[in-house]
Amino acid sequence: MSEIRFAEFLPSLENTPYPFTPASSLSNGQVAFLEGTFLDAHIYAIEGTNRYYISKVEVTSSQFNIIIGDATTASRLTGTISLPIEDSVVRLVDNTGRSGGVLVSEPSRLALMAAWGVGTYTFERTQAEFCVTCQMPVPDPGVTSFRLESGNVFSGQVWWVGEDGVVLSVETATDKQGDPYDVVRVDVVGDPLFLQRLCFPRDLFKPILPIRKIRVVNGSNIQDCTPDEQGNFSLQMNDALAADAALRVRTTTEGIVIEVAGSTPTI
Amino acid sequence: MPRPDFFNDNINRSFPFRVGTVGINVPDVATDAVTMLQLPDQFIADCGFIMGPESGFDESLHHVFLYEITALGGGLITFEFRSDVDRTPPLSLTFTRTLEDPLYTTEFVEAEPEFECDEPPWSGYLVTGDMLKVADRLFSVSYIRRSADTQTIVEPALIQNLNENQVVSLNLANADRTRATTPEDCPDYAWSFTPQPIYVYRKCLQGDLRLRAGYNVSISQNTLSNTIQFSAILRAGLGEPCEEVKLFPEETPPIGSTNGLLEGDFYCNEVLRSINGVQGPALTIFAGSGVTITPDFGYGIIIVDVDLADLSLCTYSAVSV
Repeated sequence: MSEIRFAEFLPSLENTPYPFTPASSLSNGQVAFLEGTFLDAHIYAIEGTNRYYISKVEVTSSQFNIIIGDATTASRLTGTISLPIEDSVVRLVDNTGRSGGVLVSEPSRLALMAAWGVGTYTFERTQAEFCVTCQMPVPDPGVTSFRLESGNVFSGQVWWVGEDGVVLSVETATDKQGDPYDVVRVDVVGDPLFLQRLCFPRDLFKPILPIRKIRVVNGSNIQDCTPDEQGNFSLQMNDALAADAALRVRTTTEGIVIEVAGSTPTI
Repeated sequence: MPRPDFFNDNINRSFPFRVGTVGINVPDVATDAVTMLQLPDQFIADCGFIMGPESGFDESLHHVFLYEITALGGGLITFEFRSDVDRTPPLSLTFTRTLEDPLYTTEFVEAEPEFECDEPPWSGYLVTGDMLKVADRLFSVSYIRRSADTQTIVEPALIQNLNENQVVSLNLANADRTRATTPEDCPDYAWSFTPQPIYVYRKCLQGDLRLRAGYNVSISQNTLSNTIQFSAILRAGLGEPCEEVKLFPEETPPIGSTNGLLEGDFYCNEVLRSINGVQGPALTIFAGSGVTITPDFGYGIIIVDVDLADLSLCTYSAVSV
């Protein structure tokens, strides 16, 4: 009988619990992973810790989800396999969609889980824990991403752009040791002409040449009058000489009326 | 030597490449040239790759593969790995060997960042087999190059994909402010710079950054939810500004500006926005009884004449007008 002396890497693992630990039972009492369901795994969740294990498998009519937990949470990574199964590599992503590893298998091997029937199957760590060699430590680079309220995640070369009256700038300060550091400063100062921008279409806005002064010419007396702080100008009659002046200045919805109180002659 | 049994196994099987992508119908004669599909197992014992935070790698779409083995002369042989990530130039990582390198020589290589401030796109290690056997296959050809997408694909579990897993740098910019325009037939405002939609304030901020609340801003931190909240609150932070804040350090008012407003135009107290509370743009002044209003459009003059023209007049009156 011939013997394969150097079996290929993945086929050599198909009759072993790998990538699970030898101590894993691979069964939750209800369903079970067969040896060789998965051939290899590589897990490196960016916010993960260690002791990764399959905590849950959700089987629906259109896909099944493999949820992987770690030492701190039962839901660290998720791998989704759409039905019908065509891929042999299950991509694992964290709850923000970032890569966190792969499970290597084959469509025919993954199809075994589809046979479990629609439902949710939970596992304990002792039942489906991954080998330590499948768990890759991830360097802590500091800030991994910015996540907005909308759920959008930004990483890599991130741009902050101030607009609509928000201005961003950078200042350099020094710490107690005299070492410089960058300070991002945020100012909210408004955009004075913002209403102009709201005009749509844009040419709906027609700039005007505004009146900036009122020159009062009273005989040889000339005086330039400017508005107050709010841009208002007051036109008043002079009542300095009589409590009941005949000259009246009043405003109406149509405009300003200048008149003298009195009666018109009767003919 | 670490795990020699593992390496010994690997130079007799496809690993670290996927089965069926290498080692197919290898010529028996050791000096015969080979294609990538025929790549002998003993060439490479192991490899592994870390895709950087800006690599663009998606393990559900992309692969890493051996692209070319080249004899450079002088006993130097290079192994160039590539990824099919859609980038120009393509992601490439080259390992160099000499004929004297012993079995299972291991080399770590990191690709050079394309731009300043970038992270290395990827890095990796390569463990090679017997280099003399590699040289034998390159005796009649100077290189072996991949010719199909199905050749020399590296096992996916040998790749650690850190794409989008790190904020590499913070870059700041400000969108343009709404700039004043002038009516037709009036000269446009002109600035000493060309107004643009976006002004870059600073690129490539790295390291420990701090945030400071400027004018009308409150910054709060919730450590439980790991959240930073920016709130626009009047007079918060540094209070209200006494002058406009520049979008970039070199920003200036329009050429010839007398009031120093960066966007052009006028302060509120520089234009008549209303008379007696009645706003424009068209304001009407009515002449009531006893008053005559005469406009002179040519000179922009309004003559208000309290002439009592249509009123009954007494010889003597105590009422003042």
